Amino acid sequence: MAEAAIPQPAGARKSRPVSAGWFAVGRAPSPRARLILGVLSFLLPLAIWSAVSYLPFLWHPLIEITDPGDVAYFEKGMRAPGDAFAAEVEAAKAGGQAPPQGVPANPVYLPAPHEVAVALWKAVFPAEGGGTSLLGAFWHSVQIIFWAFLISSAVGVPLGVLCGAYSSIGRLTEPFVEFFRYLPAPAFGALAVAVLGIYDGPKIAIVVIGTFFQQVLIIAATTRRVEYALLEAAQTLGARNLRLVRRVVVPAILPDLYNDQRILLGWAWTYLIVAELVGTSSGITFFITQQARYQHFENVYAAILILGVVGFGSDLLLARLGRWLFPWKATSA
Amino acid sequence: MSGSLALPEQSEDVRARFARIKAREEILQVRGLVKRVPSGSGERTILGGIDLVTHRREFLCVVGPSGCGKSTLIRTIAGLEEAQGGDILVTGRPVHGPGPDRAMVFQGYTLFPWLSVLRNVMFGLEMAGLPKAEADRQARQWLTLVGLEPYADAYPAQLSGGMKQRVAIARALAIQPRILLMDEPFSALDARTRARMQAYLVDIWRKIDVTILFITHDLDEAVLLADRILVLKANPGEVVELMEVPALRPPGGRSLDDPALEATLARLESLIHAHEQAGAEDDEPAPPVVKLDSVGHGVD
Repeated sequence: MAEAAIPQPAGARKSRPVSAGWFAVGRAPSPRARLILGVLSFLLPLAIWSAVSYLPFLWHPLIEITDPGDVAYFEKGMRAPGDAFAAEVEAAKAGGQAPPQGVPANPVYLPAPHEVAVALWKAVFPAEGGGTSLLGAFWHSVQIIFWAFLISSAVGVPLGVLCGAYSSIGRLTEPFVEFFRYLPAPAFGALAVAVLGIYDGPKIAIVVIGTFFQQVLIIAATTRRVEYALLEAAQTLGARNLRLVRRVVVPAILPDLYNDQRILLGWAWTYLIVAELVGTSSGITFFITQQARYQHFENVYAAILILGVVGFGSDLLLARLGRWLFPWKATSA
Repeated sequence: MSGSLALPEQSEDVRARFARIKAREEILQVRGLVKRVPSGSGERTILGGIDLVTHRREFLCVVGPSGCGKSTLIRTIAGLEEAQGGDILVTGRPVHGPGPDRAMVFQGYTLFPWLSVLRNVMFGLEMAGLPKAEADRQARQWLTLVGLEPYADAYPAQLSGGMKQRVAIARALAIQPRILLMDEPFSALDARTRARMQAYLVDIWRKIDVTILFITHDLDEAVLLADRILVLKANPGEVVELMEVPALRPPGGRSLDDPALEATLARLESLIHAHEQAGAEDDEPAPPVVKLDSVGHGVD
């Protein structure tokens, strides 16, 4: 049937007033505006953090003692609650003793941006022989993730594709996998240590357990979403069985499979944090718990920031790589 | 009812042409094809015993109201669905599943989006075990035939609908099937593109040795393209008539202004209309007429 073009009034497309600008509902901002907004989304939280850290009249519920005066239990560098400090000042003045001196301060768990920046700098360029290295700990974590994700994917991806492509394999595999998925991976910690020792073995095992079962189900579901008409077309062109899987199913789902793997990699990082507490603590988690125990919160924040930057950065990189790997996906208008 | 609108007498040339066609080898034989699907507690008969024979290099269109099972018929011949009774033979061999003697062009293009145009056309050739260089050479020839050689390296997503369907036709023809099955291939295209594609298809079909079974719901299209038209009715799908289109194929292509084609079209319309009416009385109550007397007060 002929579809008559709906007549449009001249200029209907561009007639929106420019003043709608940045706050037009449902309209994509210009690339320049997008960049500015993207940068702002990081700068705004940083600005709030800086304001709370550097403006003494914002929050600052504690007083950092600069001179304990004659108060016996105060000492230099200690942080006292504001009202307790005021009471001691009153008491000292009334008793004719030297009052304590202090400046408003935030709790120790909220270091200022510059302190975290220095900690980051030290982590990336550590001084000679200086203590626990953040980067070293981080590198250890990366290795655990790498091996765990490799082992999980080597079995999970092909199995997931087969489960999705052949419903008999799916029916045989998925009920058990579905059951196992509900067993929390950290619960296998003690077992993993008993079987695999106290070093990296059980950590890798826990990340594998946490990732693998989800991976099989997600990839099977993705495989089932392959456009059935493509399979039919391929069959009329002579493709059968494993060749149909290899030449049609796999290439058809590859971009979605790639995205699944990106998401699963994120989950693997979450399981890592639990896994590193099993057996001898190690890696980034050990670094964070240890630094928190010493109240070196600037190092804790530095570690968390590095995790965030590496996670965010690698995801951006993988997304970019995906667009390059699957040009036929990007060109669809 | 329908019998009143008779087809015009076939001219001498037309009769001679049909005699020639019928003298040729039978490519597709469908005998008593029955297709049932489970429906609720019982079964519903989609195809209630279809008989059909097509000859070599014949162009046969299948038309019918929606739900008459024309799509099921072509998918069963393609081997994508199983029949519950009857036989399908292609050049005398029974059909079990899809095979390279029958190629199919679908309504929704179904090009592989991850393969370039050339690799799409090569797909069936590679499946047949041709070496890559040979598959490449043959695929380029088929692309030249449909006029898309310059787009060999483009991806399907970069092509218009008409171009995609031309690639799909080249891909289907490349495996050199005895019969080309086309399931409403042009119904997603706009009217101008569709007219152009119809001319293209007839042009290609006359250059090569292939039988075409073409499903459409567009009666104009059937009349313009077909040697013979199979008319089906719905509930269950059965043959109403196998009609010989009483016209030749002039150099510029057929035109709907041709009185013989006008008469054919009129007869097709009356046949389908009559059975649509009958079907509607059978199982579908007419929608109630709602009088909107509260609307439009004071309007004449």
